[in-house]
Amino acid sequence: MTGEFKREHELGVELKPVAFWQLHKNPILLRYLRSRLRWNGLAAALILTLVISAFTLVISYNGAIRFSFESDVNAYRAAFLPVFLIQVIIMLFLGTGSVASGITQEYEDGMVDYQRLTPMSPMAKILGYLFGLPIREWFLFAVTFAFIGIIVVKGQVPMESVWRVYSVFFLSIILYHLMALVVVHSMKKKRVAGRVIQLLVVVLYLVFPLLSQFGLVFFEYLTVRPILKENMLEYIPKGANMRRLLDLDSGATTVPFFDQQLRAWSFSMIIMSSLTVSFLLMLCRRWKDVTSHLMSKPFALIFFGFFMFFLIGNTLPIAKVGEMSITKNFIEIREKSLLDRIEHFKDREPLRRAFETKLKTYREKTKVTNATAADAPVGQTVFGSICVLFACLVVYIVTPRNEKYLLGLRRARNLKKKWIPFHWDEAPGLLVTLCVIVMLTVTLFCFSTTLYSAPTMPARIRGLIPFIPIVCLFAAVVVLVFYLVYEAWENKGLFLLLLFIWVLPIMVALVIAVQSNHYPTLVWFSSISPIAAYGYGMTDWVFLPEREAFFCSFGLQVLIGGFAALALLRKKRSEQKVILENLVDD
Amino acid sequence: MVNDETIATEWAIEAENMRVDYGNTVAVKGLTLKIPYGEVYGLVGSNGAGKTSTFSVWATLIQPTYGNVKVGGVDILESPDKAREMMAYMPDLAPVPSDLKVWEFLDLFARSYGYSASEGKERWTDCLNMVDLWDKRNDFCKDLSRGMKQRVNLAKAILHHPKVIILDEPASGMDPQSRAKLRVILKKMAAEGTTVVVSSHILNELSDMCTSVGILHHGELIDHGELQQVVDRGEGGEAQMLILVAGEQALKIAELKKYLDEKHAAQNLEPTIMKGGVVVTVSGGMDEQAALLTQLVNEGIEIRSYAPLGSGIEQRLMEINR
Repeated sequence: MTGEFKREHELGVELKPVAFWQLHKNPILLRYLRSRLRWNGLAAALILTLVISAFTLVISYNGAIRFSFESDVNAYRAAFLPVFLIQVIIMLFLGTGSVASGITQEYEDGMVDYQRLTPMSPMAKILGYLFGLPIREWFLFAVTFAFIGIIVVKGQVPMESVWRVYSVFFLSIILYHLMALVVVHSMKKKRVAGRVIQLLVVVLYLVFPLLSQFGLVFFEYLTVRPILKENMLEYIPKGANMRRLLDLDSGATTVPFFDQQLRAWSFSMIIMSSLTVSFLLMLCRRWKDVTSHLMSKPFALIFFGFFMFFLIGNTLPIAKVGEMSITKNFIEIREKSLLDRIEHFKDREPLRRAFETKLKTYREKTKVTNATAADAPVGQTVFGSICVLFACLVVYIVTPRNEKYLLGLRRARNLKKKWIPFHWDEAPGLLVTLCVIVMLTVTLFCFSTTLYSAPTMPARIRGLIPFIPIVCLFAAVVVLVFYLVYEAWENKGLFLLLLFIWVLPIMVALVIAVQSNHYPTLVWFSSISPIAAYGYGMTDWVFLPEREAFFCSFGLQVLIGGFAALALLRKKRSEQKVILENLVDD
Repeated sequence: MVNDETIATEWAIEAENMRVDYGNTVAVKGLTLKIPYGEVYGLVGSNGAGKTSTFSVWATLIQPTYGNVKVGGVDILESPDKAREMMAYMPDLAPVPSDLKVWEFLDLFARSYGYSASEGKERWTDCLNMVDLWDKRNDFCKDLSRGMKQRVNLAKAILHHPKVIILDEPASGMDPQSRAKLRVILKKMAAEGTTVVVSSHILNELSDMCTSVGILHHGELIDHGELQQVVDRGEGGEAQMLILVAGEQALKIAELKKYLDEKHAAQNLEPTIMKGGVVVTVSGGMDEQAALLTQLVNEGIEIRSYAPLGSGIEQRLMEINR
């Protein structure tokens, strides 16, 4: 039993916890440098990475020389995308997985609470985990750079292009890893969070970019594809398989943003850095107080406004010319598929003729259904749905659960306040919901009006413009109902609402569509879901009951909202009474 | 790290009207308490009394519903980071990371508190020696026994010379030798001015090391103060006492039980043969126990020794629970 229990101030020693910018001294990073880079754990991964990268480089180079007859320089360039893909897999898929599983393990070990008690700043802790958890992946990533180095030097790729690609890729890695931290920190069931984040990476990388087909190019810039297109396209040989696989030849290399055309690099950097800062702020809040919401109420409004601003900035230029290209794309794909079949069955007379007839009918039909005219409701529905879903997400984040609300009420009463101040996390989310609704309706109104009054739109479509305010009002009601149901009945109520009103009707409608061609039934069923009903509100296909179905759905939403509002009012009154009685007891 | 203003304060922990709620459940209600420096303060109470919630608030892990809490004169709501610099918290079933060696675990926290690599090494070497785990420094934390893990956590808790140490069930899983060592370490720290706040289910042990105690019951602080004063404030209630008799054991024990059953039936002593003697339940406090022993001696029973079962604080707690 030895040792002196003299405190540092008595010894004259000044202890200063590591600041966030001193990454090389960050204890959490050093901890992972030790634990994640132990030789027996690292060796297999290192050997595997070296073997796969070398194999990819050699096979791509020789393949390009032997089968595509490329020059030596071009053959090296052809190997860039395959090796880059390995880096993407290491950092975005494996690295993000490591972040999610690592922080989950920290929670399970109880180490997060221990770290919370150290006097390091939240930012230092976040950065420690951000770079520490995937340190093995960073190491493997660095190893693959040797191969990229060979490709860049031998392939004579300009350093500026390489720098541009890797600056965005680096930011993209940080963004995805931060997203993993945010998801794990915000979910109660940490084990589930690991799977959710892997799903999110797939959705963000493979599914969301598809929305660019609908004019929503915003989501594409959360990936590195546009930056590859902008900076590497001219150096990758035309015959390279990966070039086709990543579809680098399609689409523009600049980003429409209101009246400007921005470079893909600039736009990606703006979007990704803004999201990175937002995620960092969310995490700081969580590190300061584990029970706090991811976003404060004012920050949530700024965040939502920012998202709406960028979304509409991207889509307005496309809507202005009435070219939400999805229908055109669908028609082209369908035509190509029919032409392929005709070619395939060219020696089998009856089949060939059958497909030729089908193609003829299809071409006539698509001529009648003007592509641009059909694009409007589709674009309108997709844009509206994304905005409504995002508004609901923000409302969900800032609306307190009942337990938290009661806590706030007690706290406010103790401070002799009549109401919980707006900016407190414990305050009801009504005011934020109303502000979100205002921003949402303004955005939807601007977008719909621009799209439906585009010069290429036929008169029939332009005739729908008077309905725009009603449809925007419907979107507002949908978000308000979402809020009321959540605040009144919490997650259980929300689950039932989303399952039985939002999702199930669309699934039933799809079954009807597959089993029979009875479209009026399909429309009635699907319109129960506000997502489908929103689209029907601005559609006019004469023979179908979209308009009636839309108004019925509107009525249904008002009805649910009314019930939820009454339940909420009763709940709040009884809670206030209980709290007041308790305070009298105290 | 700790400025003069915070050192100057008289109280290590000050809680004023502190309340903690979980939904409609009140975990801690109106807790007002001041603990001076240099105390070993025991917070006792049955399960669900609010001990862990109280510790969690003091350790800045959760925020109270309302109320003021100061640690070393620093408001934990206003400046939690500053408060963290001067305190340490060791939870019940204290965690250790599965992927770190003992020295790596301690080095992580030494550096987190701001020690340089060399200072940190010096500190965790001292702390490991204190808890007798120097030989285990290169073992993985996950491979240690539960008691050793507790000791590693204790070493971690004292790394940065905290002014206040909050220990929730620190002795759980420790062998008797380690417990004795823990007592010595904590008493030594208290003697040097550190405040130790501790909860334990092993109340005998608390009695041995605490200078003052607080009793929590359903979230309310029922009583607190110096240990003996709190015990003395009890009604007396009922206490159990083990009486050992001299001579041929089995025969004498049986005789004593028979004697107590017959002659002292009115006192309802419920004599039971166990632990190599007779255990009786005496109504009242120390005076009543002494009276009974005097009676037995006067009546010619050769009493070899006697021992009260359970500490005074244990009896007081049972009294409150009743």
